[in-house]
Amino acid sequence: MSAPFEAAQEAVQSASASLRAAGVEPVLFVAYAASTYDPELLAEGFGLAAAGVPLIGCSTAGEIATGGADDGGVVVFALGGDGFAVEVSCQEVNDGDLRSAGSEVAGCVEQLARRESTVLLLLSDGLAGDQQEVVRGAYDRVGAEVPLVGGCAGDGLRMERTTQFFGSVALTNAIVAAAITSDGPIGIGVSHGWRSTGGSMTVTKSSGVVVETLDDEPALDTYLNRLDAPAEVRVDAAAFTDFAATRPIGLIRRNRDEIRFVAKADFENRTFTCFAEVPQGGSVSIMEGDAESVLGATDAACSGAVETFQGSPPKGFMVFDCIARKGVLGEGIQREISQIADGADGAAVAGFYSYGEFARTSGSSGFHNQTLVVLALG
Amino acid sequence: MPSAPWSTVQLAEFLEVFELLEMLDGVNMTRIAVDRVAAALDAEVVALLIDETVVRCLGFPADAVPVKLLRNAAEVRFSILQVPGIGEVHSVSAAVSTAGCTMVVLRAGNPFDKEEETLVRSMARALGLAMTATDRLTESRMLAERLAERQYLSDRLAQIQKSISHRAPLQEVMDSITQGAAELLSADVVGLRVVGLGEGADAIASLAGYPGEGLAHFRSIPLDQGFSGRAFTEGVLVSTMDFPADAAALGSAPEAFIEAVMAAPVHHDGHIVGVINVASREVGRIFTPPEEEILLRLADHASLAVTDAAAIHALRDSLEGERFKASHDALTALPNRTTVLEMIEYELDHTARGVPLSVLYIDVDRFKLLNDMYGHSFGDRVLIEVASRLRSAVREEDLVGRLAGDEFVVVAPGISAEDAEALAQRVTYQMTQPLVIDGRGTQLSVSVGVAESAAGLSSEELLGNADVAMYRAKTSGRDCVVCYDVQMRDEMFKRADLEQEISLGLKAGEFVPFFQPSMNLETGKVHSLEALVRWNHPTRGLLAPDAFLELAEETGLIVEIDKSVLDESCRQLAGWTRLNPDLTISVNLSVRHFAHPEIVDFVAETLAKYRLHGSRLWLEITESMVMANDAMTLEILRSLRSLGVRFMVDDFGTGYSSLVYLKRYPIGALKIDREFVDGLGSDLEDEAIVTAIIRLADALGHEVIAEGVETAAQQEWLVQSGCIYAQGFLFSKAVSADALEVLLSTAVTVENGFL
Repeated sequence: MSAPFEAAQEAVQSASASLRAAGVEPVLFVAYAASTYDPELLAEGFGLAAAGVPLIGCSTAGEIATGGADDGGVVVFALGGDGFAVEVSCQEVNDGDLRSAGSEVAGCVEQLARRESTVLLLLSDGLAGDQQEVVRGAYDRVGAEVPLVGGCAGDGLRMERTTQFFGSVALTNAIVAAAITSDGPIGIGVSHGWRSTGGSMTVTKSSGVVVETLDDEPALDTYLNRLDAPAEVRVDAAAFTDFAATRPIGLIRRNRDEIRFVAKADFENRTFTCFAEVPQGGSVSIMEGDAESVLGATDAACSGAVETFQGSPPKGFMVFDCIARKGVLGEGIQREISQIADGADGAAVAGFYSYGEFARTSGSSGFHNQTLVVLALG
Repeated sequence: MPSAPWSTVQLAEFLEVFELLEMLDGVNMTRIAVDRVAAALDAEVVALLIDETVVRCLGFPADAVPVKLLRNAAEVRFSILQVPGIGEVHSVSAAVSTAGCTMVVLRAGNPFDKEEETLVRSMARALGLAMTATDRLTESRMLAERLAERQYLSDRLAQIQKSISHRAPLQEVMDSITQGAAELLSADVVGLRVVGLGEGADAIASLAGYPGEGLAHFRSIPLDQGFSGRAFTEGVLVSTMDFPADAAALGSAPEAFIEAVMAAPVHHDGHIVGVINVASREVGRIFTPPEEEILLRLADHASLAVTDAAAIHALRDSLEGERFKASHDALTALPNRTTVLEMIEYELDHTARGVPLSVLYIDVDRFKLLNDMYGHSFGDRVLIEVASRLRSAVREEDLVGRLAGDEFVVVAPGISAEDAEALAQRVTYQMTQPLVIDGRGTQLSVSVGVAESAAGLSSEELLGNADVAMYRAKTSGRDCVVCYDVQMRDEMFKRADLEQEISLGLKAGEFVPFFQPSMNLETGKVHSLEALVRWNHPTRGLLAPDAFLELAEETGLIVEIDKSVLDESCRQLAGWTRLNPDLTISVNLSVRHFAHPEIVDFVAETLAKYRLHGSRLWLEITESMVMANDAMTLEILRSLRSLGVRFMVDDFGTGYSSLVYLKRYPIGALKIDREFVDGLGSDLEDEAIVTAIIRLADALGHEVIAEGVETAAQQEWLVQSGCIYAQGFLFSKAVSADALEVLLSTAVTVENGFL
């Protein structure tokens, strides 16, 4: 692994150079970097190389680029040309108030002279609390008119600390945003490919993101027993996170199941924590997926993203791919990347493996888990 | 598979929420309720209305809630609506309670089916029960009523304030006050009279609710007579619920059927100049203390209007004649900066609270370039045209002024920044219309900053905010409108800090040259040096130019930085003569120097100071520099050339690459941009371009230097193609004077590509 400052600079410069080679000036850089790098040094490199062009980004659980998926690198997506205009903002989460932070950070949309299509890209700290609140806050601010997209920063499944980049600043417990407006179309595709394993359970007690009891039994035991979890998973935090990454729960909703990533076990209180609220009184079931269903979702998300493009090729693809999907695919990950590249139809692709994905195109909800979200920019 | 239908699950979740949240107040309860309903039904919009007031709404920015549309949707169970920004939506509404609270749910896409409608109804009812149980609905309802009343009062007062701040004729303002009083106080008759203002102001009288000849009669009553006369003579509010008795006691004939009256004085300049009175024919009518308060506020408004009208009159008078000249710009006849500030100050002082005042700060884009290209008289004509276009773009009540140079201002009373933005868009549109002066066609554009008044803001600050926004408009690509927000000022402060740091850094000698050698590829020796500025920042360490150059250029500090770099480069070069007597140095100068002939003297003095011949110094110029600024630049370049100084064109091939300037200007060398060098050995197109540049330089007798050489393959290619000078990381990056001295002292060659 190269030195962070240089790696950051190099990635921005190379993204910028490939854009400039096509005679296009960058208007936004979106940077994704492995959490193993020193975030401060990365940020300095990003800021210096971006040379005044807005840059947002975050740490990841793996980076995705046209050349393939990486783990331990830096990927920078450069958006440019007269066809796009961008405003960026960042907001630290104060007193755990994610809704206010979401609303504040979404303010950048108001600074934008909107064109044909507009989208608000959010990158947030997935470890900061209920991420549905981020969507609610942003939705309060911008309303139904502006779709929301993005993902939660990762830290290579250590679940300790993630970073959000804003120019040359590295933040944690924050949200960074870019309001992007385009003369062309903008599309968002969302798909997960998980299926219910059947047998729903009632959430008899939960508070926010912590599920305490399912069917009046300690939630952790119910979850582990239903899945017949091996002994190690029942005692070791890291083993649990690995195991749960490919075994999410699904909330029963109107035309779909809303997936929740099971992030952490509390072995003492026999509860588990998800990345977004699991409302008390609701019904959930344990979800399963395999390489085929996950790859099927890849195609669905890609084609969904370009649905409104009427055949014209996208200029760029940003992907927000749940880390758990990577877990399911294992070595087959390259297939997913090449499917995405096919879907992008030659456009640049960049993205990352995330701890939760944002995509609000209809309705008011828009926080997803274990899902692939594709943003196509035209 | 789920064991229960989804709607049952949703309702169960919803009911749980209220159980969990019983400790919440009504506000939070309704907020969570609308979130949940929206999530359950995949709906974009959920709103709660109490009677006709929207008390909670999800799905629109707070300032863009389409109240009318939601009211319409609340009245029917189902409908299909067109919603701005969303398109066609299906709506369903349900009663939250019997007390007039309704929930409206809007969804784009699928219509609501039976099950969903039932769910909405159940959720609405659950919410209603939860609210009623804690009496919150009543609270909310009272709050809504109070809010509605207060809203109506403040709307009405705002209307009056608006007519004052818009400088509507005094009669019109007075009529709006009497009309407003009649509505707000449910009065049958309202009269307002003002005397003693001179110039026919005695004629100011307004009467509402009195038909026909009433006004003439009203005017004929002396102001200090009758019950209302007490307000005039005593200077206080007077009120009676038994008007006939009180009027009789005062010896005046009571108006027919009037039962209750109250009256309040109108002031101007510390004196009582009029009275506003309201009367009711309703038996037993008592004017309550809040109603008295409203009348006093209306009287205040009348006082304000009178004072304002008098002041405007005075100002207009005083502006005439000599003062006009002092207060106006001679070229465009627009008010100058001082007058504009006075007017803003006046507006701020005299505009009632809640009435906005917006300022547009307008700067003509690239005006200096126009001026330089086509001369000052052309520039003056452009400014006159801009003034004229501004006058035609704004509203009658707006004030247009010229602040300085190509900076104009529009003071727009009574409109918020949002409306002012629309006005500014109109201005920018007008400006982009083609312009022909002396047969020369051009197209102007302007950058506009918009700022709105806020409590406690002075005229300077308001104008300053608009300036900050204008600056942002400039930096975000010009030809656009930007509304001020606080963050922008922070950015300005940051820039101001940086500017100060640069100034201090200059004094402390923190700007130093680093030197990058260019090599003679045939001899392997250092051929010349390029001086590149670095900032040896006391706390941030060594900074590359991109950390400060842009701001230094903007503020003009670049001139001093360049001079200090030139001086130090020459000093070092003189010292290195003992190591290499033929060594030359090239220095980059900002385009600004080439508009000022002083640079010639400075270079001459510096060369003399270090006893250097001019041929030891190269100045690097860019293609755009010579293209933009012809006559003066040519003269300066020629004077410098006469000192022996030579010029090399930086980044050749990336700009205009006009062959004319290669011939016209005294150029001695071309630098091949790294962009082309990158492709050597791999990109046929780059190779063709580089070959062409080498041949061109050769034909014109110029030296040619390849920049950004990083690989031995590129070096090899250059040698083969006849380019013998090169610089780049392959040989050395830019290094400090000390490090360079070590390099020069060591007999080095480029055998292995590295120094």
